[in-house]
Amino acid sequence: MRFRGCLFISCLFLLIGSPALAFSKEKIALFYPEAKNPYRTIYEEIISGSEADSQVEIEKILLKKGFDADQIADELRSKQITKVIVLGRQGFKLAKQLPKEFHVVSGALPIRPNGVSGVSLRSDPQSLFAFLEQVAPTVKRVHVAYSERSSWIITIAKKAAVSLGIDLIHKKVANTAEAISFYNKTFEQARPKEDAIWLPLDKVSSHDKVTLPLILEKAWSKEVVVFSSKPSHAKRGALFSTYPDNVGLGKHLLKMVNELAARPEEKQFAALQSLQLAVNLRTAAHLGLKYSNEQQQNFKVTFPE
Amino acid sequence: MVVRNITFNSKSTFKRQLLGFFIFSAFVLALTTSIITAWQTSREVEQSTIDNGLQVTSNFADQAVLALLTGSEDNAVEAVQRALGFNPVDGVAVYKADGDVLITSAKSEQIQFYFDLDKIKQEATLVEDLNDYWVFSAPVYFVDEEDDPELVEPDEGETDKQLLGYVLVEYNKQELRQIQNSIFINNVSIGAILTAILAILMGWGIKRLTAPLSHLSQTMETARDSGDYLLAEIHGANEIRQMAAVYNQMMSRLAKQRAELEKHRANLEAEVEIRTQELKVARDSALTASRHKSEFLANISHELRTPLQAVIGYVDLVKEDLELECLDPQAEDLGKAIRSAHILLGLINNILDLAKIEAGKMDLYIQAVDTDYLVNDTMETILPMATANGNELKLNKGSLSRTLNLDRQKIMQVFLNLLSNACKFTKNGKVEFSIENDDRYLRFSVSDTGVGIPKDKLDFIFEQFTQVDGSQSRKFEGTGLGMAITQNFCQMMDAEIKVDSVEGEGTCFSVKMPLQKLYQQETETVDS
Repeated sequence: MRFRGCLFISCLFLLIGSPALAFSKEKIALFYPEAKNPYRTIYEEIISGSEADSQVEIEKILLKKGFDADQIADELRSKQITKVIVLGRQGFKLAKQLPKEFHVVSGALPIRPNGVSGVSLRSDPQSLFAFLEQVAPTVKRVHVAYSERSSWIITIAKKAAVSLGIDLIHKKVANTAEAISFYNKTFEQARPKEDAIWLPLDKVSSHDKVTLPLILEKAWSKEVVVFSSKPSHAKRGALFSTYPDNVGLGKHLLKMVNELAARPEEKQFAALQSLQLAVNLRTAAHLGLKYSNEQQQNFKVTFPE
Repeated sequence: MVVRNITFNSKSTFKRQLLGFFIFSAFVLALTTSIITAWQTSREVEQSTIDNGLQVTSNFADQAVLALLTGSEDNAVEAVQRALGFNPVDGVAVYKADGDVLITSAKSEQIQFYFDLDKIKQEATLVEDLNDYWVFSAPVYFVDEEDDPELVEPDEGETDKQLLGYVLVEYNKQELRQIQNSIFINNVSIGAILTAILAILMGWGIKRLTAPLSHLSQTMETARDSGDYLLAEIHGANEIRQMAAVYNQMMSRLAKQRAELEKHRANLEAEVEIRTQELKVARDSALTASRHKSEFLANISHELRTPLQAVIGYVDLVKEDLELECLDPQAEDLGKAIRSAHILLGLINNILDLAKIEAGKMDLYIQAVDTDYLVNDTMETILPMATANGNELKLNKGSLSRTLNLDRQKIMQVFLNLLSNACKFTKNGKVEFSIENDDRYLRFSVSDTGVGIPKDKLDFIFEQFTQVDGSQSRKFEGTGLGMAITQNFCQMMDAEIKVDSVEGEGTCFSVKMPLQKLYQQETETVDS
């Protein structure tokens, strides 16, 4: 829960606002669902990220269950608000129901491209690979198994790998058994410290109870780097994983809604780029990786704590 | 029965009965509690063990996911080894969803698994409960990871749950049995120890509780043995204090009554002493008088007999002279005088004998006596008296020893007294003298067909100076001393004399004399 909560923290839109409205602040509605901690705190951090831009006025609206989308739309019209940021599952539902006249971006949810603009909680591969270079510079090859639902992120990953000079070996799997088979083959051919396995936020290819123990155990013995998009995996033995930077996510959402308003015909969608790094120093030590104090200061969390 | 013997029906002390009852109760309580607790605990342990088995099976099912997902037996080895790492787990098996075996492993080759799909349920289940082991089963599911609802896309499908296969775990009961035995033994041991401790505590408590009762009982016992009126110490429980108080009141009352009795007894003793002294004086006076009488009789008899014998001697001389001078009438008169003098001499002799007897100066002179001479002398002496009254004298000699140790003079005196009496009180009748002896007794009797003795007089015939006809006009002479002397002589010789008489028909005196004191020299039997 703690790590899952931390996932939310990163989704902040950097709203470095529109200088056009110099004298009257533009209003942007931000809907957030009713939630208890730690989600409330996460939402508050995202909101604070959005509010960081003093050029806009964020109207925070608590979104209750069973909301009436039409009534909300009328209220927005009466307030002359067209830019809308929605958070969480309830917010995503609202985003789908609001008329097209509104520019809506969704956040704080691991969405995939499906017609709604927004920032997914899935880590951006570019950032991930950048972290990989930083944490495990010896890695030349990254292996990843993914399901259909994660195809869009692999598309991004391919570009990122090419840009960073990493050889990305990807395998689309239909079920966990195929994923295991892929991992087994990977380990058979793996080169110590040069090969890495990436565990995306994918239920099929990266199962915490089935595949993760298998991967971690074999990776440990074969000295293969494992990194993950799931925050908790670093604590369990992956070399590193990423946490959302919620304030940054808030800023990102604000920026995205402004871009969407500027070009309504272009749907905006992005993976989570505002990330923080969690590193398992024991695994690193096992792999023979050493970090300077300066490097370690950039790690958000280290394990063992 | 045991309880009754221990307590209620026992004659042991109250403390022991109480202690026995309490210890028995504590023992029963401890034993019952121990057994029930052991049973209950055993059941709980059994249920806990079953839960443990279910958990092991469930864990094994979780660990078997990888093997079933990949269909690789190798991937199951670690899970199998972990499951078998539990001591009670004897064997495990993994089956695919279609029922085919993926892997089986057991600690013993004898263990075999039988897979029955019908018994498999949606969760870990106990499918077989046999004497020595259980068989647990669990389905193996592959479940998609569940994300937090807040993080799930609304259009994302529900969590998928895929049945991969089944696992079976054979779980032996040996460890459970050992634990159950251990629980039972421990419980019973603890119960026994508690009983022992309780027994000690109860013994101590009961000793303290019954101590006042024991003291009271001891005081009563001491009072009984000593005869003193001891007072008990009043302490202890209320009932015991009441008993002690009542006992003390009773003792006080008894002591008072005893004091009064002592006083009365002292008075009575004083009176009795006075009376005794008076009686002693009277007795001494009587004895003195009797002794004086006897001494007087002895003296006077001796003094009378000496001149009388002189008179008889001289009269006999004169009579002989008169007979020589043919003065028969005078001689006959002197003969009468001589007979009267002899009668007087006999009387004096009798008185002298009685006096000796009463004075304790009459002794027995035992000597060997020829019974023939004794009997013949007796018959010759008495024959004149018998013929004088026209009586027929008959002698019956039974089995009679030739010689017996007797006081000849006294036994003959007895014969003569009895025979002379018979002859005197029988006219023209028959007098019969019978005598015999055996090893132990000399028996003789004198019977006659005389006047007989009235029944009311039979008790007085042996008294001195007593005759049946004591009137002035009596027909028979005599002093009344003969029977008294006869009885005294019989008593001296330990003989028993009896008399049977029918008035007008006759009298029979019979004597039974023991011969224990007499040495029988000869046992020759003489026919009569």
